[in-house]
Amino acid sequence: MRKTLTLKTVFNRYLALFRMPLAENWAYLGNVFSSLIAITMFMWIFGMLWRAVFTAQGAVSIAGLTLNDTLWYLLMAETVVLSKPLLAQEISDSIKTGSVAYDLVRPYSFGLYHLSRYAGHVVFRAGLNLLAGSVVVWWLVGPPPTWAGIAPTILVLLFAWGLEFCFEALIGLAAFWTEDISAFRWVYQKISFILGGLLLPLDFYPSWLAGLARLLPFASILYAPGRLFVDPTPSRLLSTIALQVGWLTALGLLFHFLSRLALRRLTINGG
Amino acid sequence: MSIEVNRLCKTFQTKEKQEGLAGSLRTLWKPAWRRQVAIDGISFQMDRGEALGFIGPNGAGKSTTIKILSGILHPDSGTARVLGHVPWEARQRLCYEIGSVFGQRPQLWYHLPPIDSFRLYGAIYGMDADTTRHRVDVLVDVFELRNLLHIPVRKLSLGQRMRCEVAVSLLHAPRLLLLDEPSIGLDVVAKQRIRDTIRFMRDEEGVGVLLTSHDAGDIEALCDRVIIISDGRLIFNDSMAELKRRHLTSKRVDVRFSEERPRNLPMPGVEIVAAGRYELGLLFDPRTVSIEAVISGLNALGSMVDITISDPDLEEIIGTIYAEDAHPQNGL
Repeated sequence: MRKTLTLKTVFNRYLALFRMPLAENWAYLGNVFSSLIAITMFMWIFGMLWRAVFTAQGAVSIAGLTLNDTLWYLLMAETVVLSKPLLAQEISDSIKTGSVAYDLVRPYSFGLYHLSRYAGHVVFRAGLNLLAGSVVVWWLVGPPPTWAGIAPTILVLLFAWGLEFCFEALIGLAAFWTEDISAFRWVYQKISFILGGLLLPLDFYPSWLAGLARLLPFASILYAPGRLFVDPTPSRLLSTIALQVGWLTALGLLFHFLSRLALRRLTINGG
Repeated sequence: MSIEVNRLCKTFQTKEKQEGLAGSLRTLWKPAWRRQVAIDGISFQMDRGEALGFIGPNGAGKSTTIKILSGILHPDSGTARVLGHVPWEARQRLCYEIGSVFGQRPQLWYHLPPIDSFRLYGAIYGMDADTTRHRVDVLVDVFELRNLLHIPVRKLSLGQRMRCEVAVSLLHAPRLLLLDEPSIGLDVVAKQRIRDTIRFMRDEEGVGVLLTSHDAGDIEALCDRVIIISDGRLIFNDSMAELKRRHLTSKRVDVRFSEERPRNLPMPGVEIVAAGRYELGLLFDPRTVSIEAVISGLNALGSMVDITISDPDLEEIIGTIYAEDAHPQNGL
C-alpha cells in the first residue's frame, strides 16, 4: 500500500502519534491523579516555606521578586518537570528489549515519532498540573501579578519542553553505547534542578552564578517560563526566545546527528 | 521473485567483560572484542506468495537474517533483494510493502485497546479512515478479534495479544510478511489459531510469508519450503516433503497385546525401543523391512488390541540433521 506522501498524510501520521498518549493518559486517570497530588503538595510546601522566608526577612520582595511572584514562578517550573514523560527511560528500554526494531521498519522519523508522543503526553499532563497548581497557589497568595504573561509564557513553555525533549532524547540515545543510562539521568536531573532554578529562582543566587546559569539551557527550560510569567516585558520575551531558539538549534542538531549515528551503529553492529 | 539472497554474511563484535572491578576497568581502558559469526554465506530465493520457513536453534542466525531482510541490519558482505529493493538502502520504501512481527516485542500500545493501535498504524501508513475501517473489519473477522478490540492490551492473554500483533502487521496489506518467532511461548491451542489465520491470509491475499521458528510444528503447518540453518550456515533448503523423504528413514509401531506379551521377538531389522508387560514399541527402516512383515510378525506373537504406526516427530528429524551437521562425515 505505497502512498504518495502528501503534507496531509505526514501531518496525520504525527497527529495520530500525538493523540495516543492523550488517550493513554485518559485511560490511566489514576496515574494522572497521583501527579496532581504531587503538584498540589509541592506548591503547598513551597507556599509555607517561602512565606516563612519572606516573614523572617521582613521584606516585601527579595531580589525583585515578591512572595506572590516566587510562588507563581515555582508553579511554572514544577509544571515543566512534572508534566514530562520518562522519555530517556522509554528509549533506553526500547533499545534493551529490541522493540526499537519496529521504529526502524515504519515510515516515520525516529526523532519526530518520539517528539509527537512526548508532546501528547506533555499537553495532557501540563493542562491538569497547571489547573491544580494554580488553584493551590491562588488560594495561598492570590492571583498572578499580571495576566499579560499568559500568552508569551505558553510560547516559552513550548520551547522549554522542546529543549527538555532534546536532553531526554540524547540521554536515551546513550543506551546505544552503554548498558545503563541511569547515571546520565541522575546527573542531568540534579544539574538542571540546581542551575535551572527549580527549587528557587536564579535571582536569589549570587549574581555571578545567576548570570552564568541564565545563559545555560537548563535555565531556558525551568527558569525562563516562570520568570517571564511574572514579568512579561517585551525585552525579556525577546531575550528568552532568542536564547531558547539558539539552544534548541544546537541541541536539535546534536540529537539529529547522534540519532543518525546511533541508528547507523545499530544497523551495522546489531543490538 | 520475492526475496533473493546471495552469500550473505554478518559478524557481530561484542565487548567481553572481564571479571571483577579491575577487569571492568581494564575493559574500559582496553576492551577485548569477541567476534561472533551470525550468518556465514547463506543464499536462497523465495517466490512471490510462497511460504518459507526458517528453522534452527537459538543463535543459529534466523533473526539476523530477518533483520537484514527488513533493512534493520547491514550485512558485512553479500547481496539481497526484497521485492526488488536492497533492504538496507530502501528501508523506508520497503516498509510499506512488508509487515513484521518480532517475537514478543510489542507494537501494540500496552494500556490502550487494540483498536487504537489499528487506527494509529492506519494513519502512519497513510491510510484514510474508511480504508482503515474496512481493513480492520477484514482482519477482525479472520483473526476473530471482535471481542478483543476494545479491551486494553495489558488485559489480553499472550495468545490473544499475538493474534492482534500479527493482525496489525497485516493492516497496510503488505505483500510480504516477516514473522520472527510469532508463536514463542504460546500454548498449543493459541499456536494453532495463529497458524490457521496466517495460512488463511496467505491463501486469501497471496501474501508471502517468511517465518522463523524453533518450533517445527509452525513450519510444518504453514510452509511449502523449509530452510534449516545451524551456526549461520544453511544446511537444508527444500520442500517439507523432501525433508521427510530424505530424513524420515524410520517408522515406529506401538502395539498393545490382550495378554502378557511373549519375551522374544524373532524379527531381524526391528529394534525394540519401548517395552512393558502388554506393550511394545518398535522402530524399523521401511526400506529394508516392510510394514506388512512387521504387522504379520506381531500378529503371530499374540492377539493385539491396539496398534499405532507413526513417523518420528519433525523435531527428531531436525535434531538428526543438526547432529549430522556437527559430524559431517556422517552425511549431508
